[in-house]
Amino acid sequence: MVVVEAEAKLEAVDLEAFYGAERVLKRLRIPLVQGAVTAVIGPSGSGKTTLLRCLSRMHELTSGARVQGAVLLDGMNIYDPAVDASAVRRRVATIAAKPNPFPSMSVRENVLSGLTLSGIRAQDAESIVESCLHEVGLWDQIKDRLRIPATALSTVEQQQLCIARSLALRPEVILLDEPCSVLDPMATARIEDLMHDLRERYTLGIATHSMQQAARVSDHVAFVLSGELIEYSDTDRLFTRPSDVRTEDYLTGRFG
Amino acid sequence: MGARVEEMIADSMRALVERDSELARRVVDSDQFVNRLELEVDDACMRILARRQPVASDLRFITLALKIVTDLERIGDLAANIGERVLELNEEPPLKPYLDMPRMADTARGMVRNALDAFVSRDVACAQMVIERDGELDAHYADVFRVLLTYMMEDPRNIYRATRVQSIAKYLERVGDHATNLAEMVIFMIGGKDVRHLTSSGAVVSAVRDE
Repeated sequence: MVVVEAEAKLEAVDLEAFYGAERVLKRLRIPLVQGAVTAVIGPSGSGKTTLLRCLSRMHELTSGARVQGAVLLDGMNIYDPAVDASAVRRRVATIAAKPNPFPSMSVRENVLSGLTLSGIRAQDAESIVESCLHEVGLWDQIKDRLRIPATALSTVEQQQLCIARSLALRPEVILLDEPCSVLDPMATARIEDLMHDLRERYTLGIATHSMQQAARVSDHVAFVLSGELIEYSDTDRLFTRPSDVRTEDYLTGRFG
Repeated sequence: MGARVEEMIADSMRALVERDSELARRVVDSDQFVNRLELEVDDACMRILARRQPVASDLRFITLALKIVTDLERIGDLAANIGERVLELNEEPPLKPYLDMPRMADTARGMVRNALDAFVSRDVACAQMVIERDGELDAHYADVFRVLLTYMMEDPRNIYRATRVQSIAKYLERVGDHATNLAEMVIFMIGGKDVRHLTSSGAVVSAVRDE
């Protein structure tokens, strides 16, 4: 199958990450293609989460953590000293594994919280709330309950709300770190459908230890093992004819 | 793919009756196209298996599709073989038993179409009918074979043409066998009931399947 090489929206180039003296990512080169879902797979501890954190300048928030190499966002290195980290974090949104809406806020306040906390006063708050909840498929079921506490929602609705919250800041890239790890299969399918819809307008990255999930949702897959990129390929190819024997072993469960 | 192989059978018969060698050659060439379709369907099924992890009726549908294309591709091969024999026959004066071929072809083609219709509309009764018609086709082949033997005994100059006609009849009979395979698979897909390799009492021939 011929893969059309699309432009990388966000690309790690010789990216290395450290915790103190320990090097946890080793010269990774991974592109996230515009309008596509890129999955990062690998066993626990292989550096998937660290990678996502490096892509949105979150890694450096841990004390003793540092990054080497570059991450290009539309060709601009986000680690350039002249670049404002919080501006990067607005353009590259991150969704956590466990839904983390602000518990003291209502549904509506949660959607707007990114703007409020950034000191932006939204002129059209109501339409932002509506369009963001619409985009995550939550509007119809929740439009009459916008004032209830976010924690009153079901787990999957909370996760959808968290995605809506990040959409309010109009990000260009959305990184999801194990977004379904606390969800049941039905709820997982809902989030996967949502990712399918979102990829038309955003560049998506997902870290997952479920290779079945990567197979279902992604267009490209990066297999990372002990901080090293073993294989980057289009999803069809990786799951039918992986080129590295370690990928083959991991996918077929013959690992170790 | 199914429509194309049906068309190949029909065209090969028209080429025989109307002595149209150009059409026969086109049938032979169509086989390439059918082969390519087989590869495409195989590839699509493999991707679906790898990426969607289908189960239950979805799983039966996909594994069935993989097998159906093998039979369809073989039917395409047989139609191309008929085309080749027609090309040879068109070089010779006609022989009377040609007349039986279109009728046999209609039966065989009808079986293919009904098997595929049964697949699409999930119709067990329709698939069952295909299986029953296979006997009809086998009997027809036996008749044609006897007539051809007579021709060959009457006049050795008939042998070249009679053996070619016999091959065509055999190919059509094999098309019927493949259509029967398709019908059996369709029944499996719909109800999950395996009707292959049954004895007359309905028991599975080999005990291996029960384990």
